[in-house]
This record gives sequence, structure tokens and C-alpha cells, in this order.
Amino acid sequence: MSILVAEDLTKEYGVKPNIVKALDHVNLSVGEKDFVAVVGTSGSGKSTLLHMLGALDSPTSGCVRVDGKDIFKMNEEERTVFRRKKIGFIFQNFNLIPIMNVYDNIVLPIMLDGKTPDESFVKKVIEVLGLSEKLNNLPSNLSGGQQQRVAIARALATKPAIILADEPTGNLDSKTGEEVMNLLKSTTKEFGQTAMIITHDEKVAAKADYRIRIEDGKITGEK
Amino acid sequence: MNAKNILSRISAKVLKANRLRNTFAVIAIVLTTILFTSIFTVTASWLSSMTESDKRHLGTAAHGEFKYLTEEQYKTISAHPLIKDIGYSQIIGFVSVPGNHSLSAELRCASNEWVADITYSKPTVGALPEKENEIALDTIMLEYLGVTPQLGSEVSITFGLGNEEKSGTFILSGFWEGDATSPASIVWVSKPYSDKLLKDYEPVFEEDPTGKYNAPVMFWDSKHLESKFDYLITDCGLGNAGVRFGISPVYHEVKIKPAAVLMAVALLGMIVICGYLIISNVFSISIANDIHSYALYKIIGTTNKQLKRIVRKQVLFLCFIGIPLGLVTGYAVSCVVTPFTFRILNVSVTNISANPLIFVVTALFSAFTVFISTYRSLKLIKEVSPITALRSNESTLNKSKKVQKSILKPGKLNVLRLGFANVFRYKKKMFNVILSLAFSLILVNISYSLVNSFDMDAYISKNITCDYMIADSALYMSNHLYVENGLLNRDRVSDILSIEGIKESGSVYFSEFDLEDKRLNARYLELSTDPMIADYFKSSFAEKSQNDTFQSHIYALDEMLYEDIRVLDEKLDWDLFETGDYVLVSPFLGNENVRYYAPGDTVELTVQSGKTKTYKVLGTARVPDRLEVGHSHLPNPEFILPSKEFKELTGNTASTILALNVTDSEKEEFEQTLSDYCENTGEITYVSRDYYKAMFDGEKQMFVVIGLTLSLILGFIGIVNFMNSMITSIITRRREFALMQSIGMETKQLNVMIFFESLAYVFFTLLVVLTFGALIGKVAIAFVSSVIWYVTDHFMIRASIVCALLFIVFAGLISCAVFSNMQKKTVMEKLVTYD
Repeated sequence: MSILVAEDLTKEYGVKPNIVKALDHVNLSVGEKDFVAVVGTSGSGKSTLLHMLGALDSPTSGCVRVDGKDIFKMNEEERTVFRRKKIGFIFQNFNLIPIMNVYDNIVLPIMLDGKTPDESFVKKVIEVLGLSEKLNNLPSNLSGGQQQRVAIARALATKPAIILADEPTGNLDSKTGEEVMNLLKSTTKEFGQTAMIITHDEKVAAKADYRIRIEDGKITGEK
Repeated sequence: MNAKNILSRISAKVLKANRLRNTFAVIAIVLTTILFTSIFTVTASWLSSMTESDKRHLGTAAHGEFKYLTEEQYKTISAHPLIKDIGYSQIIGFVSVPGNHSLSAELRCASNEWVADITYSKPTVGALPEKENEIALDTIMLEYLGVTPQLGSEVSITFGLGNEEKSGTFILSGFWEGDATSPASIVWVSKPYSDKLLKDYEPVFEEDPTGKYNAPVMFWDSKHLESKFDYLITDCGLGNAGVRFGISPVYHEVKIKPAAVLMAVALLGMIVICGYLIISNVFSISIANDIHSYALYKIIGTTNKQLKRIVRKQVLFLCFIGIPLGLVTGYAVSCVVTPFTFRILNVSVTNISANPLIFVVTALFSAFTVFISTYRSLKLIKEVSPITALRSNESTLNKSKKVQKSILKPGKLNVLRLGFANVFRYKKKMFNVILSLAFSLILVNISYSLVNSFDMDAYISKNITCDYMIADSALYMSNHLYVENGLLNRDRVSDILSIEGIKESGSVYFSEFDLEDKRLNARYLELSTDPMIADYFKSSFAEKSQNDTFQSHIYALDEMLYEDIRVLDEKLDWDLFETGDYVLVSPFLGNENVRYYAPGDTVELTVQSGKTKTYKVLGTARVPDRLEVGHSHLPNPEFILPSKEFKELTGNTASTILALNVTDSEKEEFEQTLSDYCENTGEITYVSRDYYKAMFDGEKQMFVVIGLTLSLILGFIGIVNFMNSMITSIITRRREFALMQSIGMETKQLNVMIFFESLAYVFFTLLVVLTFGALIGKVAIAFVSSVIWYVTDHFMIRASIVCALLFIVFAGLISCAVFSNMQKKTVMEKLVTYD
């Protein structure tokens, strides 16, 4: 069963005659618990695709269904709430809240949802990611690899249906990058989540169950 | 922890991370609150002082008073449940003070202390008289009677009882501080004394009030007083007893003038705008700088509603600090400013109101201003896309702009150009700061111009046209008109005229008489069809005469004072007037365009002596207020004759006012002699040109103080806004500056560039002030000069130029201070830290 479906997804930038098609009628579907990599050169449209799938940006046309729900038929507030429940994000530049410590950063999305964090689950995630010692640190006191682990923990903590990661290793050296990828893969498997990772690094992509290749806004291959 | 808690925690963190912003926001809130508090406190103090002053002037603080009750009636009424407090003051007679016409005192007997208290005549030392030989009175009376204010002193008085003159000697049982502004004093005697005195008293005329009870009343509330009195009288079965009552005008429903409402709304609106401009700017800048984090919150699933709450919580917190601070400071400021305000308003009592309502309303207004000021920031947050968080920091500026013209021209680097161009990068911020600065400057300009527009000549000539005006003290007692007392003693006049230095002199004469004219009745009938005029009749004591006689006045002036007559027709032929066959007639009081007679009409005047003469009407004119007797305008026609003719017709030769012009060189000596003379006799008062000059200076000073306070606060708001904009802009652009330095810009160049940026603000502010601001200022001054008659239309921009120079100095200081602080790090350090 597909948890994430894109149909005829198109995103255009600019005005005529200078229209740039960042995404050109993209169709894809990702199954439950899959660990997928989206690869492509820079400017190929992979980040745009991720933004659309994660409801951060709206498409020019087409639809995205997460867990069977068309996310662009919702209004903005509904979409925000849906997003924080169903989708976890991991970004290249980590995007941690600089004024909050590691623990607060991790549980913030749960609490925004008006829920009490599942302490044992959160603790487990923290342990798996090796962050137990750093909980009171502010992000600025952490290394890149540590910051990305916090971001992964934050994405996992809400138990989302899908984790979307945009170049999660892009700001890390190759050794740390590999560690983070291994962690990401093992944790998503452990917690039974679907993950989609965007990367231009073949070595990173090699860790995925399968790859989707995108070029000039179109899907050119799937394996 | 729940979602609400986490929002509070986020707010707290954001607050903590924005110390500088908080400081500016709190300053802005404090300043706004100060403005609101001052306005409300001054207004409330003014209202309460006015009321208190009115009550004192009336001599009672009660809701109203039953008049001339019998003992029986008083007993019935006082038992009624509608009444909260009641007491009586029994009328006995008038105490006369030899040699002083302006002092009048009523001999009364009080039922209890409450009556004395409510009539402002409660002994503060000692008590009300109880024994037959006791008496209580105020210090002013004591002084005139030559008695030392000491309990147990012997007090001898003479007083009128009916037609008889009586006298008595008493022991002082109590006294209190007299109020010089009060029209009449009360002298209390005991009930045993009055009972004994009035035991065999026979009324001397039909409605003789002697021995009757006047009963001041307080109801449970002050609403619908008239119907309360009516109901009470009927309910007590006194409907046909002809019981009279008077309602204190203080409790009459206040009619609010539209002009006052307009001024109040304008003033409050101005403060709201002022506060909005700065607070909104502080928040917009702060949130624009933080927009990246707000986008981040959105990415991790914070809804707009939650973000709104995060901002609101911060605002609330800042309000909690700023508003109380502002309330306290504002109240302190008001305590200083209020007495100055009162100087012009002729309020003798200064009651600085501490009504809690002032603080509540002020806090509400301030909170309202703060909350509308956050609207723009909230919109900014609402509109930001979560994607913004994924982009670099710079993406927040000029989102809509895809291309930008080169701001660098070939050739030498023009730092000035660069500075100006930088200002234009943030158009909204620029607009706000310039508006706020301009707003302050415009208001500074207006108050400065206003103060300079005060026309002393206009002010003085309205009150006095000669050097001195001399009159009997009783003449200026506004609500007592005993013309017999108001006439100047002829010996006194000749004494004064013999003082050296008098250049010229002229007198005003006055006489009452009954005008008999059938045509006038018809004219009234005609006039009363006009609803405006009919309304006037209803509210005025004037009523159509039943037998064609109308109470009227004749004024007469010596030639020196002719130019003071307010001529309402085209030019008059003064030579014709001098012949004595012509008379000038006043117009209808309520509307000066309405005339009773046309020039050429004849009118027959029969004076008190019975002498009659027929005059031709020369034109319409009125004696100016300053030369009138008391405030006794009649709606009926009043007449003006030349003094020679007046004396022949009436036989009166005593004048009411003596006007004098004095040779400049002898003025000082003359004034000294006159002042000594008046003090010695105690019967005569005078006003001088210098007296009004001093009054004028007082009023002007009040405007200077108020204008200065207002300008200072507004100017300060402008400067704070400017400082906030400059400092935050420099801080947020640290990386940009570091980059510029990394590619070779010198510190000096950077400094100059930043200074030019500040200069650009000042430049554009001045542009607004000198164009748009000048227009507003001109309109405002024209409006004020139309309302306050002694303000001439005189608009100046000098003040704003001076302020602008001050801003430039500040601009220089800020750019240097902030920048030098930043210079402590190396370029590379900065590039890394500010990333």
C-alpha cells in the first residue's frame, strides 16, 4: 500500500515567457516503510519535489496524497497541523531552534500539537541517536553531526508517517555523513517509518531500498 | 506540559533573546502611557476641580435645596426615605460689615454639622454654637470685625432682622478658613438664640423668608433630580403648599460641546498614532529580523494561531512592565503640569484627581495601542512561507524584487549614494521611521507656533483699553447686583482724580428703568416663532411682559470711552450722538443679528424719577463686557446715551467705573498711590493694563509648559524610534558590513556610509515636515486661532529645523557608538559569528 502519492505534480516559477518548470508532471508513489532516495543533479528539481511532498510549498497543479489524504485540499492551518502529525523533516542546514536546548528542540513539535511527549519513546530515540549527554546543550554548542542527529530525533519523536530528508549529509564530512545515514536508516527501520532522502551523493543513495532519479523536473528512472 | 505551556516557554525564550528590542518596546509603551495618563489625569482633575470650584462658588455641595420651609414642612420632608442626608439652615438676616461693600454675610442657624459641612462653613477649630451666646464664623469675617481667631473671643455684630437693625455680642465657639472666592459668608448662631430672637417676629412682607428653613438635600444618587424633588413634594402631601426648591447646577446634566469632543478625539487619536508608529516599528523590525525563526517554527508544525499567541504573550509581558511604569511616571508628570493647566481655566481649586478609573482607562488605551501596533508584525508572520527558513537570511528583504539597478556608478565610490540607497532597501521601515519623526516635529512646530501666536495686544484690549479701571468693590461681585452699592463714591472719585500723573479720565454711568413700548411686545411675539430664539426665551429668565413694560438699562459713557462701544451697525455719526437727541440700542442678546429697533425709529425713555424724553435711534451698539455692571445682560433692549444727556435725564451723577490714562513717566508712582489708597479705603478695586499683562503671561506660560512637555515626549518618541531603527539595522547587517570590509571597505568609509543612512532619514523627515507638515500646522493654528480669540494665525517652522539639527547630532552619535562596539572583532570572526 502506498503511503505517499504524487499525481501530475507540476511547479512553475516565473511569468510568461520566462517560465521555469521546476517539476513537470511528476508521478510517484512510495510504499509503507520504504527507505527511498531521490537523486539528481543540482537544479534538477529534487528539493522542490520534497517541498511539495512535505506541504511546505504548494504546486502549480497536481496533487499529493499522504496516507490517502489530498494535502492541498486543506486550508493552511489544517495543512500545518496535518504536517506536524504526519511528516518529519530533516534539512541540510539542520534548522534547529537556536534559543532552545536539545531536548526542547526534540519535543517541541509534539507539544505544539498539544500532546504530552511519550517519554519512554522519546528517551529511546535519544538513546539510539546518542544524544543523552547533550540534552541541555544549545544547538550552537554542538557539532554538525550532533546537530543533524538532533534533527533526526526531532523528526522521529512525533512518530510521523513519513520522514523527508533534504540532503541530510550535505553539511557534514563524509565520515560523519555516513554515520548519520546509517543512523537514519537503522532508526527508521527500528521505529517502522517511511523515509525519503534527497541527495546528489551516490554513496548515500546506495543505502536506500531503491532510488528515484529526477532530471529537469521529470522522473527519469526508478530502481 | 501542554501546548499552552510550551507556547509560553517559547515566548519567554524569544523575549530573553531580544533584550534590545524589549528595551525599546518598553520605552515606547512607557512614553505612550505617559501621554495617555497625562491627558486623562489633567482632564479628570480639571472636571473634578471645576465641579468643586463651582460647588464652592455656589456655597453648597448638595444636590439641591428646599427653600423657605416651615418647621412643620421640614419635619415631613426630612423623614422621607428618598433622602440620604438633609439638614436645615434657618434664615435670620444679613450681617453688615461697616466700610466693606464687597463682603456679605448671612446670619443662619444650622440643624447639624452636616449642613455646615455641605455649605463649606464647618468650623475646623471649635464647633457650631450650641449655647445662646455662642457664634461661629470664618476668618475673613473675623478679620473685618477685628477679632483674633481664637476660641472664646468676644464677637460683636450688627445685623438686619426684617426691617430692624439688631446687634449682639457673642463668644466665639468655632471658626474656619474663609474662601475669598466665595460670594457670601455664613455666620452661625445657636438654635436657642434664634428661637429667642424669632419668638415674636412678625413677617414684614408677604414672602418674608426670615425664620424659614432652607434645607440642603443629598439623595442616594444624582440622577433625575428634578423629578425626585417633584415626587418628594407630592409624596409628602405638600403639592399645593408652594414648596420651592433649587437644583444645584453642578449636578445638571453636562452638555458636551462638539468642539471639545473633536479636540479630545484628535488628541487621543494623535497619541494612538504616535504610539502605533513607534511600537509597530519596534515589533516589525524585530519580527522581520526573526522571521527566519518564525518560518522555522512553521516548518515544525506551529500553526499561525500558535505563532500569534507566542507574539501576543510577549507583547502582554512587555505591557505588564511598560504600562505600570508609564502610569506612575505619567501621573507624576500630570501632578506637575496640572496646576499650569488650571491657571488659564480660572479654576481656584486644584484637585489632582486620583480616580482609579483614570488608570484603568489609560491602561486600556495603552494596551489597545500596543495591540493594534502588533497587527503589522502578525501579518508579516502570517504571510511568511515555511520555505523561508530553508533559504539564507537575506531572502527576507525585498522578496518581490528580482532585479536591482546598480547603485554603484563608475568612478570613485560614492558613500553618500550608497547610504541613501541602503535606506531605500527597507521602504516600509523607512516610511514608518520618517512618519514617526515627522509627526513629532510637526507637533513640536505647532506648539511652538501656538505659543508665539499669543497676541498680547488682542488679549489686553479685550479686557482693558485704558491704563486703569476703577470701581466700587461690590461692582465686581458677580452675582450680587445692588446698584446702589456699585456706584463709586463721589469723594473717592475726586480723591483719585487728584493723584498726580493722570492724562485723561472718563466715566461709565448706569441706571435701571422700566421700558414701556407696545411695539416691543409684538416684536417678541414675532421673534418667538423662530425656534432658536424661542428656545432661548424658554431657558432665560426673560419673559414676555404682561403689561408692556420691560426691565431695561441705560448706560452712559464719557467721550474718552466712545471708542470702546461695540458698534454693530455701519459707522455712526458721533456728532449726532453728542447732540443728546439720539440713543444707541443693543441687539437681541441671543443673536446679535436680531434687532429691536431700526435706525430712525423713535423710542420713549421714562426713567425712575419719572422724567420722560423721546429719542431717535442712531444705531445698534453694545457696551463691552468690561464696562458693564456685574454680568447683568438683559435680553431686553439696553440703551446708551452720552454722559451729559444721561445726567440731565436721570439726575444720576455717580459713575460705576472710572477709566484713567496715566502719563508714562509717572505711572509707577501713580500705581503705588492708587494701590495704597484702595487698600486703605477697602471699598474700591482697580484693574490695570499691567494686571492683564501678568494674566496674559500666566496663560502663555501654561501653554509653554504644556506644549514643551508634549513636544519633549513626542520628540523623545521620535528619537527612540529613530535610534531603534538605526541600531537594529546595524546589528542585523553586521554580516553584510563584515563582507564589505572583507572585500576592502575601510572602517571610515563604513562609518560615513552609516552616518549618511541616518542623514537620509533626517533629510526625508524634513522634506515631509516642510511640505505636508507645514500644511497641517497652518490648518491647526488657523483652527486654534478661530477658537481662542487672542491667538493670531502665526505659523513657524523654526522649531522643526532646530530639532532636525538635533537629530543629525544623534545620528552621528549612534553610528559611531554602535559601530565602534562592533569593531572589536576581526573581519573573519565576524563573518563566522554573524553567519
